[in-house]
Amino acid sequence: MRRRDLLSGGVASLLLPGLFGSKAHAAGALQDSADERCFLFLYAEGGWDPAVTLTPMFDTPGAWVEEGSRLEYGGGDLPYVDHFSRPALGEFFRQYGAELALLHGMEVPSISHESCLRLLLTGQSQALDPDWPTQISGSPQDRPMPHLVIDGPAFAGNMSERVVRLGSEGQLPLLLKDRLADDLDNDKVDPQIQALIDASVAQRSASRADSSSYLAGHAQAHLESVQGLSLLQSQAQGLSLNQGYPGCTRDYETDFETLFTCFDAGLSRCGMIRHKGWCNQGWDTHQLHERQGINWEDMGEVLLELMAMRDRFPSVKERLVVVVVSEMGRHPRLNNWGGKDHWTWTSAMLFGDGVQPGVVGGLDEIGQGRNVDLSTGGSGSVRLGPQHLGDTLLSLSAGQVTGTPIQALLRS
Amino acid sequence: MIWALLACTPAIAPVEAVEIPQISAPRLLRRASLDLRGTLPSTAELDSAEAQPEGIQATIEQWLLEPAFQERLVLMLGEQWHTRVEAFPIEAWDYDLEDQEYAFERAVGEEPLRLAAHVVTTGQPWSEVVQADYTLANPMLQEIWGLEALESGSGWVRAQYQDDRPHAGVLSTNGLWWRYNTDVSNMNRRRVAAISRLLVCHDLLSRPVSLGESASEDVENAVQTDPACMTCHAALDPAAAALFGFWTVIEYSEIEHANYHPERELLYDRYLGVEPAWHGVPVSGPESLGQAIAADPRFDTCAVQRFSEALIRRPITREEQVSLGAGYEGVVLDWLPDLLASPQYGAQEVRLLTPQQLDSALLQATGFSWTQDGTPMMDLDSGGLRQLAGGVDGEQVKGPQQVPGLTRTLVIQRLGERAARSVAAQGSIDIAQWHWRLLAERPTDQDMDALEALHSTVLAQSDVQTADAAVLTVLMRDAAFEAY
Repeated sequence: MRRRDLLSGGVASLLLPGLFGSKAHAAGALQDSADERCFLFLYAEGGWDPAVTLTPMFDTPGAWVEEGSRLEYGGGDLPYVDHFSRPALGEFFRQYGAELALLHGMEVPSISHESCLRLLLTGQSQALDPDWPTQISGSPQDRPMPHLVIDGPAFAGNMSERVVRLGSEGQLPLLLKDRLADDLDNDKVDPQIQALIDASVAQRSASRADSSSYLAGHAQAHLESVQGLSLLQSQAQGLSLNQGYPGCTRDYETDFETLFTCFDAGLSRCGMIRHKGWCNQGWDTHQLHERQGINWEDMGEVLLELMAMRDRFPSVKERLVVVVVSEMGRHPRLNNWGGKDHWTWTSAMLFGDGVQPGVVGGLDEIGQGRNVDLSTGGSGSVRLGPQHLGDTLLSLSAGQVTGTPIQALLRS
Repeated sequence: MIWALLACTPAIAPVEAVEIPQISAPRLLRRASLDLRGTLPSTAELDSAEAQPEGIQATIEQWLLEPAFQERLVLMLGEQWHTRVEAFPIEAWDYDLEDQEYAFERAVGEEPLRLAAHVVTTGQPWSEVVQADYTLANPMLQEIWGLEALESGSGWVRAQYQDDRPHAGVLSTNGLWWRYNTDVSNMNRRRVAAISRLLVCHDLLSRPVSLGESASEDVENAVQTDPACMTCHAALDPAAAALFGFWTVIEYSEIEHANYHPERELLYDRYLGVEPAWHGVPVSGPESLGQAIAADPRFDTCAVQRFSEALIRRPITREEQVSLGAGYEGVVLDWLPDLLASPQYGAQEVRLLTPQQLDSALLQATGFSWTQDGTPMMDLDSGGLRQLAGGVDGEQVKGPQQVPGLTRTLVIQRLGERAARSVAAQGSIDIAQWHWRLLAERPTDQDMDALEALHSTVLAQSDVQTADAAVLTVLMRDAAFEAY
């Protein structure tokens, strides 16, 4: 529907919920399964060490190997590094290994956290374009909160209207209910009067958008955000948009519930959740590298919670894609301080609808990424980079792919 | 010889003079007032701009001298320097200030910004920002870091550290180094990358890194021998060597982080193995590092770029930098009138009010500010609205929102509702005057008809106060209100 069509419908139609997006859209008008997929990004902040769990380095000369660790095979014969101190992660690999796709030896060509993060999520070191989640998430006219950032980074580029933040303490749902801060005794606007105000605001924006003023483009974007908000307010009644901090870290179970609720209701297509390590101690282990094992075990528990929550949302489960990433890897060897420094090669884990399980890529004898064949995932001539991951995700989302996706990760 | 050199200098293609469409005089006055004062112009000021557009520039130049401009500079620079964050290596409770968390975080994060703003607004050369022999500190910083105030005053005043640290303007501030923290293996490199980006507009971190084989064996050796590593480290490490007195090796210790460590100054030799220098110019420590940065030819062009982008609120092109900086001679305050009179500043481009501008503009116009336990919600991330309203938090969000979005629209709705109720409670309103005041636009007959119709409809269902509030809410939620 175009703006002019809307305008011809009169003022009331400017805010009429249901004209855009919603479940009806998700269920009916969408073309194929790729259009319907929703994406959860779980981001380990600080630079994880895949060697602790994902990429065995037992045969890499000089590489640090955790005492007591051993090569193990999970579901689907997926190789991983097991350790007695990580029962939850082991359980995850055993139970769900057959679903997982592991991408190894992806080069993120920087050693700065910020640049690596931009590279990982956008393919550029200076993010001018929106990141993959933002691109995938689609228009706010389809879903009012296309990319819901529960917690974590977002490079919105010129698509900032697509990115919606829940707020570090759940401010968004409180704002929707008008129950934020000192507002417990706030006089709420009468719903009927609220509707009149909303319609007037939309009318004024529509008039400006249709004018020759330099504000016209802005007014159009403003109108669309007002419409999106109206849609969200009409649909958010009774929805759970909660989050919590029961201990020293996030309540990921609640985060997953919130996100899947929004996926299920057609409010969002993408979501970002940040994992800051066990008790928010971080993944950036230049010292005390043993924190990596603790973090991985915490990640294992989080992933098990994710899978349990996925089972509670069958309609989400069948179209969910999960992407687990960190902005960089860690050097094969310990540094002088008992930690590991940054390393440009890292791994990613994907699973879900449309994702072909298995292992793509790997490391060579000095811990650098091996070139791969994008169609088979085995040895080849392509140096894996974030752009390949991005193109794969865009392909999974039926988005516009400008490069070459990793065909080996795409289920035919 | 000079001619030969000039002949080899790549010329910037002459830019054809293209007329840039300008916004109206009242809207330009509104833009400048929001940028320089953080408030909306009064109706009298708008009347004057409408009647005598040629007088606007004199008014704007006068605003550069008002104290409010210093406050605005702190916020504008904060969007670039990213120091107004809510997480530092040392937290409020380390100083038994857990009930003053917001005040603590802003005090720390604003220290370098206050110094920079002080340099600008007092008409000093911009080079003072890396050479000043003082910092700016409020009573909280004076107390917790043992700073000695150089002048009296209850707010931010010039002050000096008492731990024998060298004087190098912002390069000697805890606030900058706490934001750009380092660790045992980073050894100040992150800090050098930050000052390179901020002060000479050279983003070392954007360079692609492709590690060679030697990096797999010995990282510390590779940074001096592997060409892939040396690309950046040849610039990073010598400058990092000059900052070893600020190097911290113990996490979570306020004594470690708050104090200078002169005994570590020479450790660069052991850990980095290079002599201190700034891009080939030998230095001996922070003081001469500051001098070398100020003498770097990129320092002036970067100042033009940074301040232009702060006020034009978008990246500027190389050609714009050259044309806008034509009159820049090292003193930002002397040059700002040129920038504010430039066609780029008055261009018909939309800028969005920052959360802090929304707050200060409505506070001054309506008397309302949204606070929680005295903390301004529009300047707070944890439990607040800065990030949701499209503001820069300096960590997850590095640039201001450029187009409207759902959460920003929702925040403005709630803010507008509260501010409107606050005004309506004070007495009946003049719709046309509020339209003029809030938007710097005279309402058309159609505007007035629609707003009066809304007023009448609401009045029929409620009371005058509610009807007034409804109309004001519409104006505060208008697309032209959040744009400037």
